[in-house]
Amino acid sequence: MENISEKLISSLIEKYFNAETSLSEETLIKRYYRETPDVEMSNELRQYRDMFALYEREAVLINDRAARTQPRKTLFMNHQLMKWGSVAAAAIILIALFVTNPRQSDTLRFVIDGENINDKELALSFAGSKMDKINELMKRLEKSEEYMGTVSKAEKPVSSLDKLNKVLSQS
Amino acid sequence: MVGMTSQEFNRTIGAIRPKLVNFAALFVKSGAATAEDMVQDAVLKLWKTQETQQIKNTEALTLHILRNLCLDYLKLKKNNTEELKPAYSALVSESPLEKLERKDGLEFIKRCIETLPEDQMIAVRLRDVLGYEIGEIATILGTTEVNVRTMLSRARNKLREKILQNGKY
Repeated sequence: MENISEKLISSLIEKYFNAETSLSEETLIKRYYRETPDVEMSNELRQYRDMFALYEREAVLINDRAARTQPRKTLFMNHQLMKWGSVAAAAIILIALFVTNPRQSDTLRFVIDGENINDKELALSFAGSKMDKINELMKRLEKSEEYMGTVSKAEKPVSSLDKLNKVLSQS
Repeated sequence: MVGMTSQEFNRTIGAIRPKLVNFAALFVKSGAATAEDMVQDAVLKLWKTQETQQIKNTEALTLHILRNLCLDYLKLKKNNTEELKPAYSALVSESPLEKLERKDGLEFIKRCIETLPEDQMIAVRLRDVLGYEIGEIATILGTTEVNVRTMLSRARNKLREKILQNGKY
């Protein structure tokens, strides 16, 4: 990268203090302070180094903060969905194995209220009804996902309106 | 646009939200949640405004509302902490040890900025930290570009004066 001359920066600094610099000239000044080692800087210019360093640091902090704030809720929602999705998937796999594994078909054991049920068809129909319930649960999960998506979009103004309601009800 | 639907409103605000949070974060140092609260309050006021009148520039108006909220916050904060933390007077009546600590340049500049008049402080932060154009700052502060340049020049020269007085180099 091309070195920025100290002479140029000295003249820009005077313009800067008179608020006559453009944004691109100010970017150049900031770049000079970022890239030039102290020893290569005149005493006069070095005096303002901390000021420009502070501006750059604050800009970075603010951008980081804004970046951290934005996706938080979406990440949380995805995490929740992943968790319940995994539980449902594991349950489906277990039941599918239980129902379809041929090696276990002869020794199928089923217990309801402490009694062994040896009726294979009853066991299978019971497992089938459980599968239906899981399917229903999955559908509800999908619906809640859609609903959560809508709520998260509407959340900001709605929470503001809540605040207003609170204030109005107090007064 | 009078009486936007909540969907339109959310879309408009969503697009400028990072900018709003950035702006509020200039004033609020106690965590992202408080900057978010400021933005929420500004959005609420904007929502009420757009129900009754036409908004030409949503971003500028929201930033203007936000700026007023932030100034109120600063005034409140100042009233609550003035006795505990006198701003610039602390710098001139400090002990030799404190004087040494003050040599930490960044902290010193930060404190100097905090002692500037409110509009000058906002102008400096909008320009030098967030890189706003003079025209944008004028809209936010509700003044002219010439006034913004005057504010900026005064603020920067005050900072320069303090830096030279500090005499670190």
